[in-house]
Amino acid sequence: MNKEDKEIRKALNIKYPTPQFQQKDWQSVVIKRISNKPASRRHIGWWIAAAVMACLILLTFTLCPKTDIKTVSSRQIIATNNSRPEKTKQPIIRSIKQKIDDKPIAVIQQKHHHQTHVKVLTNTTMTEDEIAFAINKNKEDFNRQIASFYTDIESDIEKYNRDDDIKGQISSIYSEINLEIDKLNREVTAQNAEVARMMVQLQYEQNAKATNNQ
Amino acid sequence: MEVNEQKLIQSILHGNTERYRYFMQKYGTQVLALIVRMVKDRQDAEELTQDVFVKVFNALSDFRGEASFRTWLMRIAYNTAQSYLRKHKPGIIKLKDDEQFSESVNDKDLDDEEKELDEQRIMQLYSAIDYLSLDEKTIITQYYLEEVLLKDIAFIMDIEPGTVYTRLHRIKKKLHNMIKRTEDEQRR
Repeated sequence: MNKEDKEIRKALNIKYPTPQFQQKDWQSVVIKRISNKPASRRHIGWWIAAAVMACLILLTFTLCPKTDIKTVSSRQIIATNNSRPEKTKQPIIRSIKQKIDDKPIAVIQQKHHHQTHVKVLTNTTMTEDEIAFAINKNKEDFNRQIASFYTDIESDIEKYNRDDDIKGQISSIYSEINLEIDKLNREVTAQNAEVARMMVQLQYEQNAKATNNQ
Repeated sequence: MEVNEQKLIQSILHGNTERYRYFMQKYGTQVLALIVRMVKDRQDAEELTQDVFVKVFNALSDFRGEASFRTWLMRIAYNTAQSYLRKHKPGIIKLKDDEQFSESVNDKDLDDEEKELDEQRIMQLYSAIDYLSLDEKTIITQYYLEEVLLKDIAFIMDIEPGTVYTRLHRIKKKLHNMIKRTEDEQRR
């Protein structure tokens, strides 16, 4: 401790000397105050409260219908899908609504190899197990919808392909037309040249005839 | 012989209330010292000290041993004094009690080296301490008089240890400036 610290300490000692209790039996007073309520008794209260809460929870589970206990909202469920055509490489981003008891509950979000991720978007009182069961029950229909969806995609691709054929044909026709135009142009040019040559010939003959007459 | 305080607490929790007297004997004066310096009224401080020990007893089952029992106790004492001060506005504080304390200074307790210190300068410091805030007074008394570690002061006051260190440094600078100003005024 340096000199400055010692000075502070001494000044503090003068200002705040260690006090002594004036009330000599203060400890007994405290003991008397705490003896009426042992510290461990506080725990008993907590245990009683916990037991009451546990009973209430048990009663709730027993008396209330199961469907009302848990609300499912926006959770991820994975359903198996074996109907994926091999030749389609890209995952489908478009969504298909799933219906359980005529209520839309699920939307397919994205598909990967042999698995379809289903995102439950609508709030429902069904438990996760119940949803999984309902999805499995509707699996065939579900797979049919996916297969139909792929068929649509394929027909789209075919349509695009057909469009490409038409484009090719049109292009080919244009080429043929252009060729024909070129041919005609060439013929017109040749005819024009012939006409010009005949005009020159005619002019020459007329000039020769005029000279003879003179 | 060193008493295992954790075992003692378990024993008290199992109903041996009388063993709680050990903590009151060991830490009673320290708790009173902290409170009396904060509330500046000996009678109220004694009552508050009793309240602190009752509070600590009631919360004994919550003591996890993260800090030492003494530090934990002092934190409760500090909070108790703080809430007392919030309820009792500064006007009610009996400032004259300072004189009462100064009468009881025991010079024998001061060692020879301390006696060599400049008495006038110490009296200037004594006056300067009055201008410190309550928290500043708590920090310096805990650090210099009770020799409490900075980290424990931080726990008691519920602030960062780094803050205690900075504040202590600032308090010393503040006291130094106040003394210098007084000396300058005296020279004029």
